[in-house]
Amino acid sequence: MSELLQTPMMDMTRSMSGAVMTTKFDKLLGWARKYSLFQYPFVTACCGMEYMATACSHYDIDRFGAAFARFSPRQADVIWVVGTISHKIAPILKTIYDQTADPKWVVSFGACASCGGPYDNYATVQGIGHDCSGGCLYSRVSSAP
Amino acid sequence: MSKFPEHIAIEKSHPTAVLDWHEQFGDRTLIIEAKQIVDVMTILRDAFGYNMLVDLTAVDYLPRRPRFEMVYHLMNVDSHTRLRVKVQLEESHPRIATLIPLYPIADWLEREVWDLFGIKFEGHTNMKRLMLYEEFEGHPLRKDYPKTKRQPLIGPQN
Repeated sequence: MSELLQTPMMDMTRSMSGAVMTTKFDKLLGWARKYSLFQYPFVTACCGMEYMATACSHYDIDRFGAAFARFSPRQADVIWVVGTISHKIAPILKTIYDQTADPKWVVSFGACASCGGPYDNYATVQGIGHDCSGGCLYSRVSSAP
Repeated sequence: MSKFPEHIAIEKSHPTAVLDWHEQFGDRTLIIEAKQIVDVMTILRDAFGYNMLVDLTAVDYLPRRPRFEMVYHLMNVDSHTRLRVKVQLEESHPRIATLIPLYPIADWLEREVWDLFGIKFEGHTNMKRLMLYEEFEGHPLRKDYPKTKRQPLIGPQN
């Protein structure tokens, strides 16, 4: 990860004591390409529909050589949490996270997985931050690919 | 507005069963006494061909008394006619007989109503939560369930 930190924004990264990391998008992309990350899609809700559209033949994210889905957490580097996480399924996500080998990352797609989104109620986890650390939040509701 | 045929037929054999009825917005509705729900549903299914239980749900009318209302949506698939059956239940004793012997689909629907409203179904052999987890306390669609109450399985209260 060290090469990611060689950006002018390093001071901010230090002051946030590792909670936030800044970089240039090209550097992030280059880093991800270099290590060829395998992803585990944890697909639960309507974001999952967009994920399926992105992953299937019409848009075919695999044509970039990226987003190679492994359906075993032991073979994956990145967990994609795509969709609303309810309290009932949170322990399963935690198990998947614990089974993933280090080094591991979590990408939370959309408002629901990041902060509960519109579902501030008895059933929905208000953001997966406390279940999976070391995450990256992509906080926007998924649109069509 | 005249009584519809289902109403007349039920009144013949069960004179006290129909408490009220209306035809609001063209939706024919019977309000039935709780103890006679199975008899009434048997008549509706066998004599009038209401062979499909489209939905079974409940409403909490807090602070009205009786507080709960069961709502059954029936449909005759052959003639495309629909009928609503409602049953009012007291807060102190929210219980009603199961409809599983008549409509097997009632199994999961009744478990859902038990899960979210806490209405018990007598004769249901598998009265477990359907949507929520076993550790959950209370019934969240009741109007007196606190809006902000959280019961996470893992992680902090949020």
